[in-house]
Amino acid sequence: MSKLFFIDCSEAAECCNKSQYKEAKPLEKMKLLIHLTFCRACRKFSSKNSKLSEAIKKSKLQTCPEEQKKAWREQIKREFAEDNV
Amino acid sequence: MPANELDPNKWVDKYSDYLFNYTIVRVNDREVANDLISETFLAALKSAKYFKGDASERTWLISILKRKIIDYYRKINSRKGKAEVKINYSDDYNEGEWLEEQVPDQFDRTAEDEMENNELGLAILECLDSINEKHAAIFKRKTIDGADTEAICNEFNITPSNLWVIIHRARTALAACLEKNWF
Repeated sequence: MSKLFFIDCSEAAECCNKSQYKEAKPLEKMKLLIHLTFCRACRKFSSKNSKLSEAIKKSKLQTCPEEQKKAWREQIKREFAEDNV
Repeated sequence: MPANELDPNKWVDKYSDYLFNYTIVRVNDREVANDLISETFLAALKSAKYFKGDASERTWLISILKRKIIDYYRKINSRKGKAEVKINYSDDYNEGEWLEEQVPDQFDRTAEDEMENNELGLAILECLDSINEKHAAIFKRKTIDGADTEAICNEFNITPSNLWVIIHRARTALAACLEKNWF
């Protein structure tokens, strides 16, 4: 019974991270909530973690597609080689 | 030995996302942004011999990119037939009459907000530089691209529990770095 509902901090952190990506299962979420009610350190971690997710969302960061990066890499390699002949 | 040295073969991996996010809010067109970044890399290679090592590689690349963005706006401006109309509201003649129009609109902060959020994004990317390169790449795939856990595991040949450990470390480091440099 206790094994089923009580988790340690590292497990709680994992559930917390998963829930930032909406990948925590309902049972995991429940265990996390139970853990948070009596663990101050994890509450703090959890609030920082959500703040980070919010910041990332707000920043609207994008990555360049891999093909574009590949083109740039080749371009640099070519030019760099030419300059050093 | 100078404090900073250039390593052009690493530019794309280290800075392309940073340069891209810097450019996209300023030109608002992916293709133009990509072209400007290409030009920046080329110009940087050409003037690499003048790099003194006082600034970081990133700062130096950004300074070149800034010039490219300004040049881009000059070019499209001159293409418009130089139809630049200047309206000077606040000459002595009608002082007072137009003041109301010049009051900044408190509810229209979208441009400033967008710039501020963009700077936040750049701060995030800068913070990611300080963590393990592979971990940063995995974190970006998961968090920015929103890729599936399974897909990333296959891509990097790791298990899901590896992935969550890496994500945990990255998030902890990132939160600490942002706390120091941003919030």
